[in-house]
Amino acid sequence: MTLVHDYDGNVFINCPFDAAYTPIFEAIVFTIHAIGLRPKSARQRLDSSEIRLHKIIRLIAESRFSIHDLSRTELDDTSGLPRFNMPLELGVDLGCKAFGPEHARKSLLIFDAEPYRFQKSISDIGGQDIQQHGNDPAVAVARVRDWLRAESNLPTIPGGAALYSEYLMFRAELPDLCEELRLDLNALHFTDFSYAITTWLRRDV
Amino acid sequence: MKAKKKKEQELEAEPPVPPDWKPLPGVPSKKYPGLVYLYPTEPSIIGLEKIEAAVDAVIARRHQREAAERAQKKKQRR
Repeated sequence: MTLVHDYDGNVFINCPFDAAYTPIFEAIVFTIHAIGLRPKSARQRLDSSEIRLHKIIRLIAESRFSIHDLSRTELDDTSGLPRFNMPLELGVDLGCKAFGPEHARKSLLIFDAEPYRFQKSISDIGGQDIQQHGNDPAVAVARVRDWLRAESNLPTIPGGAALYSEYLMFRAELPDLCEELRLDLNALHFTDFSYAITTWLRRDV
Repeated sequence: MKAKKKKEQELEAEPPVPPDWKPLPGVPSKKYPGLVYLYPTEPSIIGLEKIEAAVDAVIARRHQREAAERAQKKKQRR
């Protein structure tokens, strides 16, 4: 299987999409852009007819880097069952890295809610370096930045504090930006959110 | 629950990519030499020109506010 030409620049994000997680998600997306990489999410894809798992497999295959956030893998109030989508996608990515020689350079960042919680739910990933962000966007920015600094060969990566400071400034201006565009802040599509970040970063230097 | 799911699906639905679409090239950072910002590989639904105009307007307002604050401080020092 041939890798896509921009494989080394892509970061797949496997995370919850609920409103409570939005501050972490937005901070991670901003950080990836501000470092000079491109976030990829199941939310971005255009073809509504594509089967969701196929879409996710394709995004995983297109991305050298992946962030898997298992911190919200918890029992659903209604069904009493946990949602397994995120651990499933982590499994697909680990399989991709293991079975595809061209994907051997893949690098994964795994978040969980507590330091050793994964040992009770998916002990097979024991031995991997599992990180926590404590639902704090500043910590999430620092963890993502430090991981990409270590794993990518990018020549210039701003410091964690500088990145978070820029993120706060962008986030403070995002409501105004949406008002300019006559858009509902909560309905801003992932792709346009990404364009807004890149445009803001290139303008405000 | 169904309404929530429907809204999520609506948010995910986008127009198809035009056949002649090509991703935009990266943009070098002036603040961090060597760093290049990457655009998404899909076209913007809103349109890049509109987003650029909105970003410019918001940043221009911030610069105006900052200039007014500086002028006010200067005035107070006198």
